[in-house]
Amino acid sequence: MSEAKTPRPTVAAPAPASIAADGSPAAVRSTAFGGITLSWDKLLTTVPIYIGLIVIWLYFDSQTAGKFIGARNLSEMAQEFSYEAVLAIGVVFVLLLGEIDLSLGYLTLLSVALTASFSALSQYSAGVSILLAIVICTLCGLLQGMLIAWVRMPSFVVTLGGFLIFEGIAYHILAGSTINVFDPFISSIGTYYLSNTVSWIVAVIVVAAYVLAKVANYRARAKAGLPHAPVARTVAAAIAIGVVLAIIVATLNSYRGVPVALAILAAFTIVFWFFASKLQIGRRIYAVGGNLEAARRAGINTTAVRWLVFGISGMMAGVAGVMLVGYSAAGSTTTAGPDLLLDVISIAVIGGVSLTGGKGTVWAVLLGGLVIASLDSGLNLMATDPYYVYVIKGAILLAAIGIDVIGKRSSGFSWLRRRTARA
Amino acid sequence: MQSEAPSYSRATAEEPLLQVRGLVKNFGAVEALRGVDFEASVGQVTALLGDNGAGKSTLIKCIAGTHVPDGGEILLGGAPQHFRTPIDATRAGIETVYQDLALCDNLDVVANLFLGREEGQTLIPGVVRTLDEEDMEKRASEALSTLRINIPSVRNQVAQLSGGQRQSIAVAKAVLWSPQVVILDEPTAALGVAQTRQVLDLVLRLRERGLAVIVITHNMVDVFEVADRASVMRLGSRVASFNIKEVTPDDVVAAITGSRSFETVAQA
Repeated sequence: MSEAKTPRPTVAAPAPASIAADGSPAAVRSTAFGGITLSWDKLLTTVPIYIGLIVIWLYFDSQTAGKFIGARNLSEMAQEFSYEAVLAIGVVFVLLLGEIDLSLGYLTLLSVALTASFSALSQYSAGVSILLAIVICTLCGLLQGMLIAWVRMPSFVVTLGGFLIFEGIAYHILAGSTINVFDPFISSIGTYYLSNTVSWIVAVIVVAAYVLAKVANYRARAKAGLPHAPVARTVAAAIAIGVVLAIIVATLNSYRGVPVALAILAAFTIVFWFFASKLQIGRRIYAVGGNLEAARRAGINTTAVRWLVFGISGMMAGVAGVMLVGYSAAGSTTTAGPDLLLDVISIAVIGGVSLTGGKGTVWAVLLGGLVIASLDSGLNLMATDPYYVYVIKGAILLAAIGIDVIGKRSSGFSWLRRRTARA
Repeated sequence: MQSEAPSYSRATAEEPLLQVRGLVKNFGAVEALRGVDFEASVGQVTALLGDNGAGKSTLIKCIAGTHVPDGGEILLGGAPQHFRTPIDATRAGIETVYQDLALCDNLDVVANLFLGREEGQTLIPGVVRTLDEEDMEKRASEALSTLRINIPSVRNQVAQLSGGQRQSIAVAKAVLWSPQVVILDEPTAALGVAQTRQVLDLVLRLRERGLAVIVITHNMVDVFEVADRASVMRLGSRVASFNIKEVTPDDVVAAITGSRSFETVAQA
């Protein structure tokens, strides 16, 4: 009896690490590497968006006598709309859980009000004002997350409550007037440009980091005896990234340079992409969004994961609000609001994030952001009736969600799949 | 006895690795388990049978730590266990593969096998630990090839796999952590003929590897194909325990429906 007392005698399987020896990993064929597989499904959902973007650009360009595709307009677009994509990063995480955050428009306005009043009314330094605004918004997000994750209230109800609460507080702070912000550091966020040289250096660093990361990855896979992607493909990807970055930097430099706001967006995108795809916590967010019950049974603290995500969402609203104050050098009740919510959800969905959870990446905000910014900017240049702009944006959101929902069904787009598979 | 022999050989020879004695579980006024005995031995497949509501699931959930029993005891290798959560049972070496598979469709096979137990590597000491994808992928491939589970790539999303492959992955996920006891809840329900074959072969391989395998099933063909022993439950009690080689399917069905009573119950 007593001999068998140890909780885990070696009776069963040997430790998995030592299982191997008896044969080659027959289960793996050469398609296995880092999760990059080009499937028809993926092409079907992304190609139409690229085509749509090109069509939009050509249309606006023709309607505005070539003003649309020009360094000046593109630079202004980046300056004006980067904050929306930053806010959309938070939305991506919330959607990955299959949840929704309706409060974001007014939480961003709260951040605007806080930043403006701390800086202009309380005369706090720029750093303190910005930090306080972001921390308070993060806490607001965590508070909502607490009700959602621990009390298990539905997220749309909790954030609908937050929607009203944040609206009330923000309107109270702003008291119906405009608070002008004169702090040079805060306005530099929304109005300054990186110097041409700095932009080029950063672009080179990004490409170099990509190459180094890939080399490290090849080494690690070789060491583990795993197959890797064809070298040619990686080289092609590195060149493509370099060319795209060079075109962006060269274009923007030909006007005034890369806007600081765009650089902030790029930095947040890279950081949160890393967070989502390379860290344990990111993997767990995907797991919770994919199958909550499976994640729970695997011992993942699903409550903490969901709580954290709403904290991220609140934090990004804080950052977006600061960027908005920087851009307009003022805070007023019209600076942000519920329209913003529609825009950022469109950004995430257009970028390929699914509303039902578990699908999509942080990169979505760049593609989706470009589409939404182009629409806003182009319609504005064409002096379109702003009420039509609402109609157009609403229709685009519905179209994007429609593509996502139909594409998810196994029968979705079957006529197109058959055709493309044959081709 | 042979004191030199490793602890498990004794269990194999004589005493079942998992022993459940007089387990009682009530849900309010409902007596789900009324003093159930059950045992599973190393290197054997034990089928757990019974009609709906017989108490199979409750028994399994007690063994897996999902339910806390109201009375009786669970012994593993002779040592009494007191599971409060599923994690306790997992730590003790009991893994359960539930009917609904508990896989994340949006993640690839590697990520699913290591769900909740991801391996990390230090990127910036003390600050950032990243996922060790290479090591996880390697171990995943090895584990699958040992169990002779064939899938196109371990980097396939689980959503792209067939029902049989998914069930196999769920089983592999359980045995990756070297358990002593594996519980399979209706592993072949909802599978086609070829896929059922695939999963039953996998069950036999688990037995070869010296695990104590418990299979809940309604399928008599499965029972006679893979099981060594069968325990039959009825109305919260165990009504029969068979050596499969000594009985016919009719005997087993008679025990399940209660049309005949079996006195040979606890003769393990």
